[in-house]
Order: sequence, then structure tokens, then C-alpha cells
Amino acid sequence: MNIQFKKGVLELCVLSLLYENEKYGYELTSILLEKINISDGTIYPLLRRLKQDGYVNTYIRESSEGPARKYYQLTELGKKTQIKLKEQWLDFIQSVDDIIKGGSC
Amino acid sequence: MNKVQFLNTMRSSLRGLPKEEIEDILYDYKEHIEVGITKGKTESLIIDEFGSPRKIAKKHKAEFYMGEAVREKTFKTVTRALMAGFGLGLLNLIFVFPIFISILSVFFSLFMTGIALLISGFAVAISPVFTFNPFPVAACITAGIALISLGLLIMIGSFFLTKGFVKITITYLKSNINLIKIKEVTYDED
Repeated sequence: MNIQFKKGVLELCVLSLLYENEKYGYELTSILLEKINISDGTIYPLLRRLKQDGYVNTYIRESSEGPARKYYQLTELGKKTQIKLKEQWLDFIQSVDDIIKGGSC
Repeated sequence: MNKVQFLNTMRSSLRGLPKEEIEDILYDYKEHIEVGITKGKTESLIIDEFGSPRKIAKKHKAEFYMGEAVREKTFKTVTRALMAGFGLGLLNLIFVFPIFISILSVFFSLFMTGIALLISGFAVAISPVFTFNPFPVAACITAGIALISLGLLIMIGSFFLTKGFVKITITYLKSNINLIKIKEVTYDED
């Protein structure tokens, strides 16, 4: 098991949400907030770091309603990282699952 | 708190970062508020959901200074990253900071010792020229060269020690900032 996954839970969520298609900040935040209880303000520092580290790109696109939106899009590195982190995560929950279910024997 | 107050508080809390960085950070929040309004939320609700603008600004600052310390590892950047992490409420950094400073000063004094040895080596080597000296010239030169080599060795050694130590500090800082994030995912209620 890799300890790295612990730090990457929120990162993994964001990378996974962006994997299929790019999203703008509000969209991303609303989806995340439905599932995990975090304050809205914490997403943007994370997004900036993911950009700084080369996992995401941004571009501005006009919108038919409301203001122009900054879209966040995964880079190749971002996609590779998502796959790697996802594997580690699945391995980990599998191990935990084995342990908690095996407790009765 | 309305949009203008929120953004102004953020802006003043972000002071110290480059101007374009600040504007870029604020852009995301401005857009978020405006999009939220088109989705039928009220301005004050969206701003409440953000949480404290000062807290958010601190996070941005810590991220920025961390990135800077990783890109160029100097005393200034690492100190700033440590201070920013401290501002985030990473209390263990209170203990880390004095240790960081004292270990660095030990390395610094080692480096200065190296320089002193280097200078005295030169002085010893050329001493037969200037003063009446009971020791043979060859002995003076040999002793001088020995001192110079020792000085250089200590200087190089302390340089690499410092470099390695700064690297460890940054790794430690990074894991701290990441840890805080996990805690938020699980426990942060606001």
C-alpha cells in the first residue's frame, strides 16, 4: 500500500471528475459538494496546485448564460496520474475490505 | 458579506503575492459567484459556502510559497513557505522553525570556519615572505596547503549538508500541507 494515496483523496476526486470531460469551477465544486463535505473555498487552491504541477490546463470559454468560464482540463500527465492513483485507491480499499470482512473467522 | 467585501478581504489577505497571481486567484471566485447567481443562488449564500476569505487566502499563499520553495530552494523561499504553513495553523511548524534556523546556522558557521581555514592557509603559506619565521619555507607551504584543503573540504561539505537539509525540510512541509487537506475532507464542517 502506498501512503501517497492518503494525501491524494481530494486530488483523486478532482482528477476523476475531470477525466471524461473538462469542467468549470462552479460545476466541479457542485458535483464534489454533493458527495463530500468540504468548504467551497478549498477547491480553488487545489485546482491551482494541480495546474502548477502540470496535471490540468485551463482555458476561458464564453457561455450563453452568465459570464465567460474558466475550464479545467486534464493534461496527459493528469490522466496518467488519475489512473495510477485510482489503482492505488482500489488496492487499498480492497485490503481494508478483506480485513474487516475476515474479522469474523 | 457581499461580493465586493469578500473579494476585497481576499485581496488584502493575499498581499505579498505577485499582482497577476492575486488577480488570477480572485478571478475564480468572481466567476464562481456570478455563475452561482445565474443558477438561482443568492450572493450571500454562495459567499457563506466559501467559508472565511482570510482562511482561503492563507491556503492560496501557502500553496504559492510551497511551489516557489520547490522551484528555487533558497533560504528566503523556504522560510516563507514555513511561515505560510505556520499561518495555516500547522502548529508543529512552531517547533520546526527554530530547529530549521539553528541547524542552518550550524551549517553556516561550518562554512565560515572553512573560509577562515582557507584564509589562514594562504597566510601561512606566504608567511616566510613577510615575517621573520623560524620554520622552514617548505614546512610553511605544506602546512598552508593542508589548511587550504581542509578549509575547502569543510566548505564543500557544509554546502551539500545545507542542500540536503533544505530538501528534507521541503518534503516535510509538503506532507504537512497535504495532511491538512485530508483532515478537511473528513472533518471540516464549515
